Formats: sequence, structure tokens, C-alpha cells
Amino acid sequence: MNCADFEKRIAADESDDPAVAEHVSTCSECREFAHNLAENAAALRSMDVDAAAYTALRARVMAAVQPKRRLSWLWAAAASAVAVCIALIWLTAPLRVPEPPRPLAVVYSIPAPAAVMRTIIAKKKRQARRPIPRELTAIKLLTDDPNVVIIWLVDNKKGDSL
Amino acid sequence: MNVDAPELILPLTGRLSLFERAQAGDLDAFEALLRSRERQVLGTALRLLGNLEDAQDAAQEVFLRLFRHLRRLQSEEALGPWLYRVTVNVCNDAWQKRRPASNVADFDLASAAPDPETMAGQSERQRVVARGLATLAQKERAALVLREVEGLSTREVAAILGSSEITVRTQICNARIKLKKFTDRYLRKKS
Repeated sequence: MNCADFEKRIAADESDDPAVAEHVSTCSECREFAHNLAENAAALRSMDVDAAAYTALRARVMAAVQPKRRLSWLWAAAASAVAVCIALIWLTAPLRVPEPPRPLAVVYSIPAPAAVMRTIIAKKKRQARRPIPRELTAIKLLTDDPNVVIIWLVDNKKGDSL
Repeated sequence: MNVDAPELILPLTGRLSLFERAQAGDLDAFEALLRSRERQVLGTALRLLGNLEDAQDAAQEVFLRLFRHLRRLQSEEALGPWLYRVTVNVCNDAWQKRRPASNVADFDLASAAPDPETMAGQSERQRVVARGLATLAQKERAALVLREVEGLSTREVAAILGSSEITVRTQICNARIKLKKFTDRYLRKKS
């Protein structure tokens, strides 16, 4: 074993090994090597930062943490408000006045729509070119199905259904 | 029939440790926890990055991760290794994103040396060692810092770095030899 081998063993924390210890006690170069490693380790350990750096770090971390806490409270408040609204709607629902029964038929006069008028014009021209009726009566018939409404258009002058 | 009485698991606020109070969301306790661990995190980050500004950014990120993951930690004993692991990972990411400046003359050191004569010599070596650290491979630097500065065992360093003990021992050995060569060359040149 030469000095380079012993240096590797010293750097690998094997200084307590009897063979290494014996060599270091007799070899000034390896003793110097071990001493320099110890100096570097001491320099590495003695590095420290100013107290102000720690204070600044603490302030930065706590400032970053605080808003998150406030944000969580905002979320909680928003969730509570939504829950209260839902509860209010649910509680007031039975108090609503029931709708009156819908009539079976509603009769009212409406001006004839343009499309119907055009149909009437064509029809009347084909017959005797009589004047076009201006007023129609619409009879709205309601069925059991709320989506189905029957509208019955009646010519006011003739009483013809269109 | 013999029925065992149910075990009462009622946390008594007065008996909760700082760690447990921080886990429960007590911000004052978290700040106290931060105080007790800031030297570990910022000191390690400074040695790994060689620059105080980068080290503070890294340390802040580590503590914010701690704040988010605190409840998942099983015990206070797991906190130390967890902080070391996250510090090393965050510093590795920061190192890869932006290599620290090779000139570390502005390394912010507060020497703990007792007398001015020793302090002057120590500061010079500190600066050279800090500069030398930057020349090491990331894993070598991390292994050396955790072992030499934090005083962790080879097994603990291996667990933190996710390496085998043999690998860590080799890394530490290589790092010491490289650092010595660097300091020798620099200090000899100066003298």
C-alpha cells in the first residue's frame, strides 16, 4: 500500500483502522493530508448566515402561509352562504300559493299572421277574388299534455275555420 | 362476558407537542417549528447552492412544502429526514435551473471563530471551501454536506439520497479528496 491508498482510506473515515493509524503516525504527508481534511470539514461546519437571513426567511414563509389561511376561511364562508340559501328555498317552498286550474279553452281575437294571410289571399284569389278578412278568432284548446295546445282559427265574417 | 373498555383517544390541548399543534393548524406552533428547523434547512441549502439568495428561495419552498405536508408526517422523528430529503431535492432542482455563479466572493458568512486572527484565516478557507463545493457533483456535494456538517451517519445519508451505503461512502470519499485538491491549489496560488 502506498500513500495514495492510505489517503483514500483516510478520506473514507478509516483513520481508526490500526493499519491506517500506524501509517499516519509515521508518514508526514498523510498526516498533513488528514489535517487538511479536518480543516476543510471545520470550515464547512463553521459556515453560517447572519441572523437577519433567518428572520427574513421566517417572515417570507409566514407571509406566504397566512393568505392561504384567509382563503380557506373565504371558501368556508362561501360554502356556508350557499347552504343557507338552499335551506331557505327548501323551507319556503311549501308556502307557495297553488296555481289556479287552467281553463279548457280561451277565445280571443288576434290579427292574422302574415303566413296565414298569404294562404288566405291565395285561397280567396282562387275562389272569387273576395276581400281578405282582416280579423280572425283564435280558440286555444288546452289538452292534458301541457306541451300540446290546439289553436283553432275562425274567420270572423264567414265563420269559416281556417 | 369480559368486555374491554374502549380506549379513549381524546387529545388534550395542553399536552400536545409543538409538532402536533402545528399539525392541527396552529400557525404559532408552525412558526416555532420553523424557528427550530431554519438553521438545518437554510444552512444545508446555503452549502448546496453557495448563494444566500438562492438558499433563501429554496428554504422558503421547503417550508411551504412542509406546511402542506405536515399532517401526512407520521411523527416528529420523521420530520428531520423529511426536511433533509426535500431540501436536497429542492436544491437539486434550483441548481439545474440556474447554476450558481462561480464567483462566491459575496458568500454571506458569519464566522463563529473566537478571535480575529483565527477568524480571518477561517474566512479565507471558508470561501475557498464554498467555492470548491460548487465544483463537486450534486450527489457528492449533498453527501458531504449531510455527513460533514449535519453529522448524519452513512446509513442516514443513504436513506435521504436514495442511494446505497457503499455509494454514499464512495461519494463522500471522492468529495473530500476533490475538495482538498481544490483548496490546496487555491491556497497555494494565493500564498
